[in-house]
Amino acid sequence: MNSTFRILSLFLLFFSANSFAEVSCITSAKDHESAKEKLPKLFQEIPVKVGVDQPGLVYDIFATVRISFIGDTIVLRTDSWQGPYGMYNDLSEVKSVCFNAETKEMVIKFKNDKTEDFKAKYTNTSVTIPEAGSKPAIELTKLTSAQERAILEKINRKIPASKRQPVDAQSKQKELN
Amino acid sequence: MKILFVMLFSVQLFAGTEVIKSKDDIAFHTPDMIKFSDAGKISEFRGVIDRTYFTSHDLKKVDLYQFNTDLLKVDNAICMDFIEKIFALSKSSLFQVKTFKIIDSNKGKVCEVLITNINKPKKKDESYFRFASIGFVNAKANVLVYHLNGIDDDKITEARLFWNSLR
Repeated sequence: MNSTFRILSLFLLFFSANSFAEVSCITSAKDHESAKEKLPKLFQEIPVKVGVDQPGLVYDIFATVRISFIGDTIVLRTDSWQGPYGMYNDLSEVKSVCFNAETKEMVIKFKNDKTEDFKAKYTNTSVTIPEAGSKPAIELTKLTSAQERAILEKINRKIPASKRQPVDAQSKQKELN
Repeated sequence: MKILFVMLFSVQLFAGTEVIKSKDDIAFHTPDMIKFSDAGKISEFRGVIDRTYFTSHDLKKVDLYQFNTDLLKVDNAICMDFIEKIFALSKSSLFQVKTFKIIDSNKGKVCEVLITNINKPKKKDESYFRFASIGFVNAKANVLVYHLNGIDDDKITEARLFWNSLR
């Protein structure tokens, strides 16, 4: 009787611990289709576009982050202007995106195993990247396609047209030699 | 004399903290400074070089990677090893090596690798091409990665000039 009670207690403990740590992951487009219902509202439709439009006196940031599919692969695309450092954009292949319903933390693992995971907090309408080093925390809110375009235009407007003279390939070649 | 020695030592220490130097005007931004710059990057990623005199979009920012290696010789094997580590290349990767060559520079041999995204963009896109220059500067293995919206001889010439400007 005593051992039956112990087993039952352990079973209940195991069951409750798992129900608290409910983690849903997507690893591909196919995966997303079948796991859609379990995902946070913000990620039920992909591409997901989030961004920030935050002008400031010292530090301004305009950024869009897009999670989308290319074929069956998940990709993370970032475009940003960050004063005083300027524009930066990149595209990375993603192995999985997992959501912890309890902690509201999302973890992006990249296909390149040698890279660090990208962690952020999420709600139904936003993603917050925590403060790290000298980088302050930022909240990226859900964007429509029009809002995404507007921020991208702003990023591009921040980059002045080239003042540099066109490269004279021949004279440059002489310099090289 | 002691003061002079301390001053010289301090200058050496300061110089030692510089990640990269160039004859051109550059600013160096560590991953700590630019949000998202280290997303999906390996630990050898040191940061982003800003070629401050450049205003054109795709040659202005350069990713810098530095690798520790006992080998100081530039050849196919070492260059491909670095490229595979940076891009985690596989048959199913979006990024694939398109061209690879080894050229001479004022710092010895340099590998030049053009990597393209197999998903062709509808319009000009800086995430489509990557151009990497790989070689040794002051006995340290450096990899410069440009994000380009297109590739032509002028851009390759600019990348070579920048490599030659490194000190």
